[in-house]
Amino acid sequence: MPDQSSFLSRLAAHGDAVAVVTDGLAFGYGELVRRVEARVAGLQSRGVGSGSVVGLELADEVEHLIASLALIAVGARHVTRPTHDPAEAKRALSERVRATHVLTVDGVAARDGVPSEASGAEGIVYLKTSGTTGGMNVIAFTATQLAEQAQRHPEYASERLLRLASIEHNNSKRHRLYCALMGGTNVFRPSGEFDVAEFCARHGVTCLDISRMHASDLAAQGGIGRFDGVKLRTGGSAVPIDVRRAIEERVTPLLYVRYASTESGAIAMAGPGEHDEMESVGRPLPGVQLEIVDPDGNPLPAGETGRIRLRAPGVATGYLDGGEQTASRFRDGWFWPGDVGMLRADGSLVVQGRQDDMMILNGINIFPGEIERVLERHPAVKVAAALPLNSVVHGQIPVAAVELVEAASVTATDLQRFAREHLALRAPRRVIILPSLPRNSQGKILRREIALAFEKGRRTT
Amino acid sequence: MGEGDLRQMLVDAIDGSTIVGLRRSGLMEGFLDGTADIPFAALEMDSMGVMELCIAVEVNTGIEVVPAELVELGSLGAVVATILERQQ
Repeated sequence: MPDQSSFLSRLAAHGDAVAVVTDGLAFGYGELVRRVEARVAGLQSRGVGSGSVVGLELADEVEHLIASLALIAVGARHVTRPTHDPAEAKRALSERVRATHVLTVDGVAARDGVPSEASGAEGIVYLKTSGTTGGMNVIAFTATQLAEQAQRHPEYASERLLRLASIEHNNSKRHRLYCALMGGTNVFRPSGEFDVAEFCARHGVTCLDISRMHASDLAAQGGIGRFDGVKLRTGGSAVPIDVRRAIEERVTPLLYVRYASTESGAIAMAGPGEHDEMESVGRPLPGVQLEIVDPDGNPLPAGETGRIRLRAPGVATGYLDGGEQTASRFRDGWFWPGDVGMLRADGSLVVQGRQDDMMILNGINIFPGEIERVLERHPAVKVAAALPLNSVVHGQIPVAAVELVEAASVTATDLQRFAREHLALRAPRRVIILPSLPRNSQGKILRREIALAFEKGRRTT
Repeated sequence: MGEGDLRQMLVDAIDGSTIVGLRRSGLMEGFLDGTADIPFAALEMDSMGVMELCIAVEVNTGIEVVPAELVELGSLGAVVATILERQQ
């Protein structure tokens, strides 16, 4: 049987601290535990417990958090089935994790013909991540692993955390859980458009955690002084120095840029005073052992570029059912995030690109990230995505698609020339301008779709 | 890609590359409107320039041209003619 009281006692230990805040609601950890216990009773009355696998489909963020904590407490495994996902995607996810139940606003329903299977004593949260070949990998984190990951965020103990992305998104969910485990305050946004600065001020938000895209938008909007005292934390993709400077000057000087992966949680973070032209992501977080190694696995000295590997309490040890990449990403006792980078003499990490994404054009190694960073320095460019086009003659030809800022006037040729001035032979050989870059529901740019646009363009234009 | 677009594409590709002779040749406007050809000698292309032109052709049209084949063509007009022929 899962040690339900032990898990809930972690939450109860936070005493009178405020656990949840929304526009119309605020309650402490005592009330949170009561609500979780009530949900636990409801789950158990429907036969959900250790051995159950539950697809959690709740858009209401507070209810989602409570349900998630309750599912962990009863020892069930659960996965978020985002309400905005198409029905087929939800069904595929349920099949992948062999879900026995689905929990929605209508209650818990058992899925026909899917028996419960014995599982360990702990509740488990499944997080999904995209594989490099387009497939989906699922990672199972125990409550203990999540608690270990949360220890890398001691600041959460006194944080009032607002995230613009819904708890239905992986990264938001794990940070909402960290915040609860550490005794911080989860502040949830209202639905629809709202004045983020005013909301932060009204609810005493101390940390605004947003995607790099949202961060760029905030910087473009300006509003100097409106976020005084609020930390802005972002990550998820490389954050160019120009964007960092714009945020520091126009939004808040309290900028934090995080390097993380779904498999490990946060790895490193650059804080105020640590943002420079090298676009460092800061020093590894407490408990994270990180090395840069050569292709044979030999550690490299500071300043040399190589493959990143790390280990830390709470890091995943593989993908569900082995997954497509378990053998390559989890080996020799290390997690290999697939990135290439260097450690500087001061211990800070510079991530230079994805090992898998490195292109080789006539013997020249080129990372998409370096192209994207240069294009995004152009004032007309909102966001750029670089990718290779395979060539029998040249290997891989770098190309890029860009999305322009509103009312910008620039041609693709101008941008190609701009890139050439900064990158010389590492420049993209073709640039296209798209109304918007294709993204998935989590805002991740879909490079395969962009590649299709280039392939089509090669044949027809 | 029609002939006019092909000519513009080649000019854009060369103009943004390491090939320095295009503007000095004084033939760019004539090449764009189809009244003049530009021999490779006028472009002052080194081997890197030839490679860049091959890449430009491939990435914009999908037609693979190896450097030796390109040099044999001798002029930008011949490159345009070859692409048009292979597109059919």
